[in-house]
Amino acid sequence: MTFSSLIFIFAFLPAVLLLYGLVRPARARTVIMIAASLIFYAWGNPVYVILLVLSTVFNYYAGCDLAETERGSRLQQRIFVAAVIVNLLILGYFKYCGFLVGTVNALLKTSFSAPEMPLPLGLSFFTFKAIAWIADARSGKINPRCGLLWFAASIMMFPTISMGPIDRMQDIVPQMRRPDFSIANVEKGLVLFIVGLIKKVLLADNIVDLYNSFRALPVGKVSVLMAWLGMAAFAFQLYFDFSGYSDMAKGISLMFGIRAGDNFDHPYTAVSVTDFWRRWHISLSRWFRDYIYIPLGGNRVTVGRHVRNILIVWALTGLWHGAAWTYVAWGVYYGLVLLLEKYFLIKILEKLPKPVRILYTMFIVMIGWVFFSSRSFAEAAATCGALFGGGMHSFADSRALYYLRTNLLLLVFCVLGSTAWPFRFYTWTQKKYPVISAVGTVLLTFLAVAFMVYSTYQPFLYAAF
Amino acid sequence: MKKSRIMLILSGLGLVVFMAALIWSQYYPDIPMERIAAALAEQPGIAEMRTEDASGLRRYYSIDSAETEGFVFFRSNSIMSADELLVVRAKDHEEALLYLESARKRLGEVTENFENYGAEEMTKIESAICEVRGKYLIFAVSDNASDWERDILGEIKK
Repeated sequence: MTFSSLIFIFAFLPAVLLLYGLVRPARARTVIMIAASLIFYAWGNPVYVILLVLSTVFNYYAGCDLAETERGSRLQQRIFVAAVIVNLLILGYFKYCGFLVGTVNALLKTSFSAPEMPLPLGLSFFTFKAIAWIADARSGKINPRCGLLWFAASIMMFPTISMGPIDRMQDIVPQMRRPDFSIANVEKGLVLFIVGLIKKVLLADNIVDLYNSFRALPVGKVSVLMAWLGMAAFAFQLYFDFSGYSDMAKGISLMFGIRAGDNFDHPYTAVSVTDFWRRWHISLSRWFRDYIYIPLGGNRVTVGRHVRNILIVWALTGLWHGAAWTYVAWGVYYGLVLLLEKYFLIKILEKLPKPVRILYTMFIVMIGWVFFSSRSFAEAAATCGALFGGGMHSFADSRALYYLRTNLLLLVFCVLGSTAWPFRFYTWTQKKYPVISAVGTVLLTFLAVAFMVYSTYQPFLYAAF
Repeated sequence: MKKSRIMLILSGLGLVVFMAALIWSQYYPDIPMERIAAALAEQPGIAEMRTEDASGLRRYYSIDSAETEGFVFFRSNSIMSADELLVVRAKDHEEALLYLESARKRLGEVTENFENYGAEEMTKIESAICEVRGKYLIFAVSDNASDWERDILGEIKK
């Protein structure tokens, strides 16, 4: 069951919202949230509900035990390390076993086999939430003895279980105790949900056809324009898919009176790669900053150590996204670019006009997406070659012009949708012409639902992480 | 001992037991195909079917039997029936996944053959079993498909 499915929008969500609204005590609402979240989770693979429940109990009591053990003692350190290892082993087994075995086989010419298990929904996301919880409990930043019920509801809540944001539980638990549940918030949440749905169904699920057409072509026969169109399509698909989901998650949470964190801030309007990573998957960047980068010393170390810290963090960021060396390469690529910016480029960039800076950033980001979208280094190299005219194919052939012509309007909408203008325009019309604004919202919603009914199933990309 | 520590240990043990059970459920030991063939010979519906050889495997699934570590392949004697059973033991899991693609193509062909002609056969086709377990590809179209699958997996895990 995904947010953009008919059963979720017209059955599950209204039923849970109604039940939630009918009861008053926060404890009863929390029980409803937990029950709904378990049903949501079980929809994909019921067996993994056991894993979710056990992991939640384990991490809650790990936090409590750490808080009750003398801070800085060897025992506390051991409990912390053991708890983190348990979480990482589970994540490693499901997500990285095949990758590790494949790497060993490639290096040692062996033929070990790895078990093929479907990845539990949201495993990467809730593992990181759990590790943040126990790390903060160990350092004394939080008092984890908030009650298992509140913790469970916060970490399992169905709006954010599958694809984040990776909120800190200390921000969510107090809200779960006193949810700001009101008609006004249900309205605001609904608007946010519709925005996300439009991004996913009207933009992401339509631009993906252009990307698939590009990938179906033999790389040696792709013109430069076709290659850039294809990668632009991928860039837009990934952004609207994930930010659309994040908007829906935030909207649904708000409907239940919970304010989830932001995950995107118009990253394709960033003026540098450093700026881009303050706007893209914000909760993940913050997690790596707080729990890997800063503990390693951050930038308060020698230049050599700083370079090392950046590369470790970004290699891990790449690995988090996928169990393949192309993802690690993607992460290291960004680590190198960020270092270049910090030590050399940032002063030059600050003097350039904003449009140039945006173009520079998008160029770097698009090259990065080549690695992210490729199944192998050979494919990535071939795609990079196609982007720059490798193989001496033409700049623009009739096929590329055809795809440009037929997708031009959609591409324009994608470019506009990547900026803050549509939401500013909506806010302005809402104040000046509220009826027109409401009619427009209803029409777009109707269009999105119509697309959902008649389109083939398109899963959320980031659910694969 | 503190309650939080007891609960931590118990839930940790629970996780270990759960993961062990999950890993065990996905473990399919290597057994000779003759054992699977012998177990299937006693199954309802099999005796009435025709045993196909390597040329049948190549013809219907484009699988070269020399690349496999054994197979059993039964097809219905009647062209009016979609009943079919294929079990292939691949060299490794990745190879089995390639055979899965062939099986899915075969399922598509069988569907095309019976769509709009045989409602009863279509019911079997729609609940066909087409899966990989470890190194084994299992493809079964029949009213007895679930029983066959259960017995095959039972034999493998014995």
